[in-house]
Amino acid sequence: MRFWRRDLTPRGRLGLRAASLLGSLALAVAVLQVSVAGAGTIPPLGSAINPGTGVWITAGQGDPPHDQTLTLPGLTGGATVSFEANGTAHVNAATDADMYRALGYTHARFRLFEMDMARRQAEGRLAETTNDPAALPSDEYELDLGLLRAAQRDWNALAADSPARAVLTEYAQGVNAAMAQMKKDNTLPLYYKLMNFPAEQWTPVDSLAVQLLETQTLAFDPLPTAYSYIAGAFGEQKFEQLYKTVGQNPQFPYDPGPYQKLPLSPIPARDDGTPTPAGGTVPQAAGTSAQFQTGSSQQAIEASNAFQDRLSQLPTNAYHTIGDSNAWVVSGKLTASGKPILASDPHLNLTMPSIWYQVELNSPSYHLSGVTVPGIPAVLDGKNQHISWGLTNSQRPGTYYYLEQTDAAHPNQYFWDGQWRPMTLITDKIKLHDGSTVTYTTRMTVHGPIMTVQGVTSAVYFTGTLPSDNLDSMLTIEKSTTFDQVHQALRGWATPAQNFAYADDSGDIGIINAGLQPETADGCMPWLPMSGTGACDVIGSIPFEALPITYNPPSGFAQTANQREVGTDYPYYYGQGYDFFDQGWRSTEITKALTGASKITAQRMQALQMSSVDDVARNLLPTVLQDLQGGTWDPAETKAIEDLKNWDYTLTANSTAATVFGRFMVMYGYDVWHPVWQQYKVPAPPRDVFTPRTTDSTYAVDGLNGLLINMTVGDTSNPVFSPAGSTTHTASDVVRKAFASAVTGLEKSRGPDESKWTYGGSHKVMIASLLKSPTLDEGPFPTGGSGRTINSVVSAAPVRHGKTLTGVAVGGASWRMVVDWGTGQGAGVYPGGQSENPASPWYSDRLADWFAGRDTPMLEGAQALAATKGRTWTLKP
Amino acid sequence: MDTQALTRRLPGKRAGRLAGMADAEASVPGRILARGAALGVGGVVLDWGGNQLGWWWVTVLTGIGAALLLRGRAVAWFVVAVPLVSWGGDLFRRWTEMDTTRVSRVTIGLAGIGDDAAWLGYVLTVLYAIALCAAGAWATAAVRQVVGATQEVRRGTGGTGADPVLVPADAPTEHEEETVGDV
Repeated sequence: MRFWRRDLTPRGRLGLRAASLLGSLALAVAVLQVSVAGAGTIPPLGSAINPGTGVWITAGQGDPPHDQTLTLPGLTGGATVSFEANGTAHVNAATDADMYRALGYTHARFRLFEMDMARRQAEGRLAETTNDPAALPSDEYELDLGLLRAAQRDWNALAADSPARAVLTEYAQGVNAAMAQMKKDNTLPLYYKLMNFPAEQWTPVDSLAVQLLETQTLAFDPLPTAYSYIAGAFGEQKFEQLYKTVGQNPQFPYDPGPYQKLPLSPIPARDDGTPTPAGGTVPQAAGTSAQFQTGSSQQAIEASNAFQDRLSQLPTNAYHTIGDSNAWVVSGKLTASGKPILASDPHLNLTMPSIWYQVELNSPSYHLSGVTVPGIPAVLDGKNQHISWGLTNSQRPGTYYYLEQTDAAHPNQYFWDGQWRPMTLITDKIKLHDGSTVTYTTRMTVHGPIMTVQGVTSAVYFTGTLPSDNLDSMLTIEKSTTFDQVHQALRGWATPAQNFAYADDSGDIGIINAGLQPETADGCMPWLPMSGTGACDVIGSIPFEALPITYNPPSGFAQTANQREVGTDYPYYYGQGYDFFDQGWRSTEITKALTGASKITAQRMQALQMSSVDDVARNLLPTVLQDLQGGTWDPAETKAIEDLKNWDYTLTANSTAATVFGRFMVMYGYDVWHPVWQQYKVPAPPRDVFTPRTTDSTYAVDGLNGLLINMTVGDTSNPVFSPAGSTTHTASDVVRKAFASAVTGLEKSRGPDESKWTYGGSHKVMIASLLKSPTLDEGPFPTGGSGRTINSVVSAAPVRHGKTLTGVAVGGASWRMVVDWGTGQGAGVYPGGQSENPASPWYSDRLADWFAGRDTPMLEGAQALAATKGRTWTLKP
Repeated sequence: MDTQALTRRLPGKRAGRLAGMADAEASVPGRILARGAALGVGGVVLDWGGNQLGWWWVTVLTGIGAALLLRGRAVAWFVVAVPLVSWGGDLFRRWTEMDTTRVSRVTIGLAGIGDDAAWLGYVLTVLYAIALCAAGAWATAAVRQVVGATQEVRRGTGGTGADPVLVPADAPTEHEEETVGDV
């Protein structure tokens, strides 16, 4: 190169040098651009990856705490936070205010990013944080639903002397103090550096928004929009034949009656921007057939289509998919100690980090032990010195859909109570990750926000955004010492509807149902989309005094596992057996285990929480085996039958019989219901919720399993077993056919060696990272259990790198707790760890114990002190 | 003394500013090496120190400094070696003390590059550091060369104004003055 360059003319050399300069400047600009501002998904690299202050130092921040004195401004008396070897935090404070401030501080030190993402999702601010195309639809959805509007309203409504106001304020101050310290020390979670968005101040409204997001996850029910498809195709008579009011398997409501019919209570006004028009004439409700026609009409299906489409773009916690839980209480009559035992395992999305953060809290007014949700200053599942409580979702429906009457001649208006009314328009600006904004307008009718963005206009009435003072209820419960006090505290609980299982050291047990239950006029069908013209508006709520409750039942135990809490003669609309309620399999297993039991211990209750017995198998398999006796089978099929004969109905990871039965149920349900679906030309909704479109729709037919068992056992010649064009005539015929298909299918998919057909081979659980990154997930792990077993493992399969992980569930027992009042101690475990830092030893250290069902003692007082030696933060003002 | 062995120059060849300075010839490589090493150590210290303060841009500045104070291959060595030692060395130190591999794996995963490529995190960090240093060095050297070439044009020295002719020149010696642009 040098040879001929020296022989260039000076101008030539200048040209070459200039080209080199341009090249160098291009490199410099590119490097500096990426260093300062990032590019696309690349964060500003300079601050993100330099070894001194970038993400690398996160590894060191994961070290467990050691004894040290830290500053927490605003404390009045001082506090300590001590940590067990597994990270359980014990907060001790001289005043209640200091305790909540210290709790906020501790939550933020270990779970700030989780809290931030929760509040951003709730408030419609995810798009600021990421270029993920799913963020904007989520933000638009949340702005429509109005969680932020509701949170702001609830905060403004809190009285100046409200305990909740004081607690939320102290908590927020603690969070902000932690955040300030972490910013100063450059120890914010690594995700902020990688995703390049700021950690903003925490406010009390943020805590309320996080609470509302949990409500949404538990209670936002899209099923009416899915049932419109089925209803429309079947027609009223066939639909009612298939989908009964109450599940067809044995039901064990914890409040069997008698019931009182009291006048409805008024529902508080939303006051969140929803219009409150006056005047007009309420139309008369059409007859039930006409209601059915409305709910299953083409208009309803189109609205459902648009809505289901919208749902498919949302995070899985944006609506109810896994809100199922178990809780039961056993009186001292049945226990070895003579004192009650409470067992609680809420089923939620299993996430890394967990939704739960375990604490012990001590202050003059509070002595609590249990789990909190980072962002919310309350022990939601736990105990104080005298009482214990555990929650399950009450699956009575609180989400109604209204088909609004609109037309082009009346833009942004809807027809209600005999008049055209203007919609309320609320305009928000959604900030995107690149700093730009998009304008989004929510349209609202008297029923709530319009949720279908295109096509038919339908509005959603969601109980979850009604005025609520749940935190005051929780704070009162946390200080309560009797059942009656808890019962009265729940008078103010609005949403989500929950069952509070209760046991105390005085020997009392019970379950209390709490929350608003919207009612419509007789004849309306809230389980389908309804007309929006006014006839089927919500007219009130079931009064608190008439809600389900049980107190020291004669049986000596009470259980709630998302089954219908009341019998069929309950005098209010309480939902349908197929809409939202669990079919009752877990409830039945718990009831069978506790009926006639004696000398019950906490260990036995822990073991029951781990039960993987499938009640459907227990009910159906004897008849199936009988039906199979008449068949001719090859060696593989014969071996499979032997496995089933020797099976104890447990869905354990190493069971091959569980695999055979599971596959058989898929084929059996498909062979029975698919012809029916075809005969009635049931259209498939975008989300395959419960339509047996394919042989892999295992969840699809669970809602009809009770009916299927009844017919298989007692109505074997039902026409459903001999569809047109088939060779089968009776239940036995279909059973044999399905069994043969099942074994053939397994041989094809799992190979000829039946010993390798382990249940866990195709049934796994994953503790899924909030950022949906395989590098932060734990698992998938082979597992037992299903949605029908007490040890529940259930959910739609997650997606990673655009691929659906078939056979992998991300929902289950998010926390297992047993409180034994014989000793006064509780024990519990959740899958995951106390820290969201993947480099921390507390990131996933509890997983092994959770899988094994090993609950860790919930230490309190002196025991806690001993276990936390050397790991104490002394917080000073 | 075998001059060739000492100087590694072809016999009889002397050029550049050192021509005629027989005694100084033997110490020039040593001086250049010492100077380069000193600047390298200085660069490492500055880079490392800057990183502890979050001043990643110091690495750009050390590249600029290298281009101002060094010539030829020495600059290239500086641009690669100094970030490798300062950034890479700091990474290595942290790796011995804490679980940086987990952090690296997560970072690469969240960047969408791969789910199990922790090693890439280390490699890309060091390559990025080299790019920072090279950006500073190259731009500086390029500016110097443009200035020099501009002055040459103004002086009207060298060349005929005709198209360049590839004429074999004397074989280059190691001690001829080099510019970065020649590397």
